[in-house]
Amino acid sequence: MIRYDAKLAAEYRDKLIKRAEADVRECYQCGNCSASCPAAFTFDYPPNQLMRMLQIGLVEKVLDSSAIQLCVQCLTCTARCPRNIDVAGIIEDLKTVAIAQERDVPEHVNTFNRAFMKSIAHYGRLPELYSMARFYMGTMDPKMAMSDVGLMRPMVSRGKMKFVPRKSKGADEVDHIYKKSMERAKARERSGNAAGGTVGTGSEVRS
Amino acid sequence: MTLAYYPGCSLEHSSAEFDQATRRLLDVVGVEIKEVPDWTCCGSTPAHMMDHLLAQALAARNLRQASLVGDEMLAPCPSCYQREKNAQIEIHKDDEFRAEVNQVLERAYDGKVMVYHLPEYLTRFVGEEKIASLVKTDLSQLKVVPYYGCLLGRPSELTGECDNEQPMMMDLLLQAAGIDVKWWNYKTECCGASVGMPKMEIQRRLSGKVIDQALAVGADAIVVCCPLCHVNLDLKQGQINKFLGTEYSMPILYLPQALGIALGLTFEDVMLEKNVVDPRPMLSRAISEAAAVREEEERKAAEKAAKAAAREAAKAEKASGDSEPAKADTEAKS
Repeated sequence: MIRYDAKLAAEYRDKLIKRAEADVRECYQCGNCSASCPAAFTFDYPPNQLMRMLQIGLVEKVLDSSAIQLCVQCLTCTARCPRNIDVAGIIEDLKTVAIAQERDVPEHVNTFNRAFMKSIAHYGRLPELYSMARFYMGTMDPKMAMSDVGLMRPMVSRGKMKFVPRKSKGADEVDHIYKKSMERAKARERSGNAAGGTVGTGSEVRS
Repeated sequence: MTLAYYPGCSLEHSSAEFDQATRRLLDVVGVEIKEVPDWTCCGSTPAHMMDHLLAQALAARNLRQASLVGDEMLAPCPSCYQREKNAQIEIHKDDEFRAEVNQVLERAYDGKVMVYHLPEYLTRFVGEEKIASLVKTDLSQLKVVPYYGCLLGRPSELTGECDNEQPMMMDLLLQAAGIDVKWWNYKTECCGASVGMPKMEIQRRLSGKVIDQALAVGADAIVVCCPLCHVNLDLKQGQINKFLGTEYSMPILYLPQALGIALGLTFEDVMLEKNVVDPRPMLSRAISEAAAVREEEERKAAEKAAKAAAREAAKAEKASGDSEPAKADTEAKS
């Protein structure tokens, strides 16, 4: 049986209203989001179920779901919601919370984010080949890397690959922005947990 | 003020053709651009999946750099466009948030730079009439479907697109350039770009569906305006074929490539040689077909004109034949 956690649900909804300017209470379970979602076939819970789970306070479960990590951010759910709920925005927000709380993120989503973000922070501009290599090293899954090796030939023959990444002029500032923002995010989660709240959302970003 | 041009990381290397075609096209339609000085990555897509402030600050840095050049910034890549536009909206309307972003920036951003994507800029500031007036190459036999993907239209509040289920900007621009635009239902379906690497299966299936639908309406090519859509549909077409057991060979053109060729640029100007599924044979065929159709039409018109002239002549002859006896008649009377 799913138990309704009124306190948690209320707390979470309030935070969400501030941050995403959306209100999961508005959701009346029409299922438009799930019907439109191109990636729902890979989710553990379809978007409308996620909304329902948030309504009744099953926030922990949502944060641990693979759905919020596998969302492709195509925004179709947001565009089609008859109640004007920013479904994709809520999912994106939850994703950032899950990452800041260092939860077990399924598949290779976190590996991807880290590999690319660190490369950007270091070089200023995205060194594509370098970050791809970094990502595949991070996955520790040679099969995955092999499946994309075939892409190299057309990329190289058409001169679309830069092999040696070079630091661009604004790189130091980008690194600075990355470190400072992530420090803040981590501090926010720590203070959120210390205060007894289990859920931190981006709402504290503003404070 | 000139237009600040933000190419973004993809256009610098893997989509160099998109960059060059855009620059050449803007040159042809008379828009002066200046690259954003020392631009850096907009942070898409890892940054906004990791932290909100990080994402907005990375984008704000580029807005600050753009403000050195002008008050309008063009971001041809829709991914960059979304991040920059998102930051633009939030920072411009919320001074408190702007102050917070400025805390993580090295130098504060206090400008008001407006961000545009390519079809939007062309529609609003160049116009279909101007594009139509500049057409040099007849592409009327080229059948295309415009593919908008996710980021050019959604959400309406951000992009200002009035109908995000049926966007029309690319349709109208391509039609203005004299290209045969087909109607289809997959304009705004997702190609799966943002999980293309960590979750390949989603991308293969979604991109496969897009190509399948384009073929179903009889298109020769798909026109895109996004480097990620292009990678997924063009570069990864072989992988899609392998995964789905299909045999697609559908050229994928960038919007400025298609428009540029119609406006008289050469294949080299818009770097068609960089596309993985070679669009050149298809384009050459479409151009020669258009020439043949035109010739045929001219021949028919000439034939028609000749017939009409012959009829006129016959009529005139008859009229003069008729009038002679009448003349004789009057002469006789007098």
